[in-house]
Amino acid sequence: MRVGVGGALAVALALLLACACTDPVHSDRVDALGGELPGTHPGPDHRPGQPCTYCHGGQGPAGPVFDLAGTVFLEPLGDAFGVEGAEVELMDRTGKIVGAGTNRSGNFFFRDGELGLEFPLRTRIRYGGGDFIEMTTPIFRARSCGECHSGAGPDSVPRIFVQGTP
Amino acid sequence: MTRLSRFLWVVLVGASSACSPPEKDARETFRTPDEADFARVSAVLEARCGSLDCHGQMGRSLRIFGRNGLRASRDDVSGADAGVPTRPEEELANYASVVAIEPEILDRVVVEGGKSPERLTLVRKARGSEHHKGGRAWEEGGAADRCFVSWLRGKVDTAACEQGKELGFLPWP
Repeated sequence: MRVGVGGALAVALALLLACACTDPVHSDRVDALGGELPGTHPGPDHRPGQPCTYCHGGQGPAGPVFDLAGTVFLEPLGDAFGVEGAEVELMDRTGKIVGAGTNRSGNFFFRDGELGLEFPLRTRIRYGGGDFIEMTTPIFRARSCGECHSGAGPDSVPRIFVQGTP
Repeated sequence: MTRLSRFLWVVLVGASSACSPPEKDARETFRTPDEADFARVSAVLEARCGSLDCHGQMGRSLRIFGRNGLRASRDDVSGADAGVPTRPEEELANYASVVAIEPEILDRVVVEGGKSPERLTLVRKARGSEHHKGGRAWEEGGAADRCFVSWLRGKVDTAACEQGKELGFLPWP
């Protein structure tokens, strides 16, 4: 096959653009998430507890894009899947509140444009008709709960859980 | 000595001094605001800047430790429920982080009694007058701003610092 100068330039330009558009930090984060849990497939129930917007944040590789997303668990440790039916509420400094419920794997999410709040955000959760439990500190800019709620430690906090409520 | 040779001597002397390295043990001294009064300022920074999703991260040049954010010791955990209060060594680390960002500029601000604090990038970003990914951390002239600026001036406004820790959310309905 003979490729002319124009063709060679086009290929070189395409390769250059492909390289230029790859964010290695983002790629590494996505790769570090690993595979799906056994028996699960991509969808609203998958990857509970993981930082959802690493993939659903607009840089890919997954869609739809979420404004904010997370998972509510029954306990700080244990079951890999969260609880269904937990209520999550977020409020900004103007007092505007939006809410979401968790699905069968404990996941909740606000799709692109659904959140409509200005950071920072106060957050509270409730499960089974119990009292709301408020998060101690506001969310300043993270759009995935799993970014910080990845386990108790010096640089992370336990996953979100509702143990102690009915 | 001709005019040309005089000129060459001047160039030679000038060039040699411009290229001379600093002394091996040379040290530059910068003045900083008082460390003793920083705890109140640190509390404001912890509340407004030091969450785990912002400056409560090890990779930040402005790195803020605190009870509800990043902990300095591997033995401490983050969070009000299980975490011990912010330790004095964490406040000291916060102090070191703040004064080490722009020591030359901070020196000038301190020497001039806190005049024009907006020379500091930290102040500009916190006020939102310079792009800041986390948005505006405090308003110019607000309690948190007055707390920080008062520390730069050498006399911490305790009331402003207490007020500045509060983020101004409305109560839940």
